[in-house]
Amino acid sequence: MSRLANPILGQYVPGTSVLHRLDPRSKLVFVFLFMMAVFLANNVLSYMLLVLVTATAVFLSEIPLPLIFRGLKPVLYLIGLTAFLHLWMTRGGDVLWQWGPVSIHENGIVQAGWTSLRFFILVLMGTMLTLTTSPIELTDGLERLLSPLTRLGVPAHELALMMSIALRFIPTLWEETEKIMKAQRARGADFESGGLYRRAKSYIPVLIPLFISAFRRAEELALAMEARGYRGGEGRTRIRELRYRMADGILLAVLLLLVGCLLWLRN
Amino acid sequence: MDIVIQKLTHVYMEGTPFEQRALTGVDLRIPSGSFAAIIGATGSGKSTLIQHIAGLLKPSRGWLRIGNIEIGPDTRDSSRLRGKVGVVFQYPEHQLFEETVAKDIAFGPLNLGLSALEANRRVERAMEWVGLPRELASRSPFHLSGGQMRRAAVAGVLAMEPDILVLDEPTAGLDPVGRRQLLDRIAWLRRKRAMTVILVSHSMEEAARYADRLYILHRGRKVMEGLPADLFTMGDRLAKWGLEEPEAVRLVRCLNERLNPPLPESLLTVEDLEEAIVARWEEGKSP
Repeated sequence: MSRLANPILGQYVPGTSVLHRLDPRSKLVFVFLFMMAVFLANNVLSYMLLVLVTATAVFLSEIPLPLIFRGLKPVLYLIGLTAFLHLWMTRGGDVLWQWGPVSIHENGIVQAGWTSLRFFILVLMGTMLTLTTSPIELTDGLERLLSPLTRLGVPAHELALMMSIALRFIPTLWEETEKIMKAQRARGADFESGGLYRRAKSYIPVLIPLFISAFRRAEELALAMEARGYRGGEGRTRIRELRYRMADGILLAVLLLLVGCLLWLRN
Repeated sequence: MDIVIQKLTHVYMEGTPFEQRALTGVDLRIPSGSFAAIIGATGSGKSTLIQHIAGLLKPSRGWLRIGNIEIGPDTRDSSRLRGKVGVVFQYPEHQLFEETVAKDIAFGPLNLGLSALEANRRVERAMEWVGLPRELASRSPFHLSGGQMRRAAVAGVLAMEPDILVLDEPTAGLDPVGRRQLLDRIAWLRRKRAMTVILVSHSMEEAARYADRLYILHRGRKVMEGLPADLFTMGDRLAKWGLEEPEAVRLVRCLNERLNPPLPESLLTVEDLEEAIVARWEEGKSP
């Protein structure tokens, strides 16, 4: 399966847009606070403001819309499901439709609408972060943001390193899986037929070698890092220095303005 | 079972930006019972070719026939080949997974639908073929030495008793003695069971020593087909394909610049060459 035909939710798309060039730290902080601010909205005007900000972000990212939405597809199903549940489960207000014990209340419709919109805004803004920030930038930013916490014993550097190694090895392990599956298939393994239980069981000959090779790789990686003098984050300099620019300041201003407006608009 | 391949072309991820052409119009014929060597530098399409023979890939264009089973771009079910063609992939010990060596070797035979009794018999036979001592059968495959793990993995394929055995660089990562032992075993077993062996390699030494037919691939095309003795006449062309002449051939060529009469151009292995030089030496001593 090719990657373009089926983009993974929020997979990084290289580019040079304003959003791409923002400092990952300010993007992380913005998205984090934005997500909390979303819950301040409780009327039409405040939601409209959120939609406006999200739409601006999508526009500024210069990422083609179809690409964004193809990645979001699985989430859209989830949103549809929650809206559906809200429709039937939420009580209150006038009863609009009733059939035996099943009924749709006015509040159900309102809730279904607002919740889906809120959910959608949250996910979309989250993907805007990962779509425009490479995993390396993301982990770098996270490390720097967490670094004040090292004094409290939070292993910021180690956490960031773990994250970047995990991301780095996803394609490698995927390749390995394909290779092992081929080999076991040549030994007559069948991954396609049978019920759920049988099919799950048929993956044991793939999973065990995969785990073993993952451990082997981990050991080799640790050894290679030590051999090259790795001794944790202390005193480590980096080739890409993070630097706040003008745009980061503007982003911060936008964030403050947004929170202010939300507080003023909500009732 | 003859293997006939006609105009085989394979393109990975066709129609996407990641499209990659691995094989282009390959024609070849491997007669039943031969020891064929498919040689080529990295990226020449060797692995893609053998995956077709193993029924793991379908041609993008062209077709291949193994015995009376034909596989083309529209073939639905290539699983009929399973059991007839056994494949030992690169670093086959990375596929071991069972608790014991015996159970791992029995995986293939049991998948073929054989009874536990027959599978057991095959396990014993396969272990003997690859030279694994019996007492290792109940050991965990992960506690074996590297060479033993490789043999256990090869036994797992041999236990399916295939008519065609494909080996993708089976000696990679083994020491010289281990290499010789493994390939000697395979050569012996091929004569005993009259199976067809296809050896994928980039080592000219191995190809010259064991194979009776050579097929050279270069950038997805078959550029040469012939006998090991033909290696003498190829000279520079091998280098162009990213390959090297066998050491013995190179030495004969150097010696022949000074020797009169020259050494025969059929000395492909170091042992043959040694014999020829000793004979010449003896001749020289007793005129």
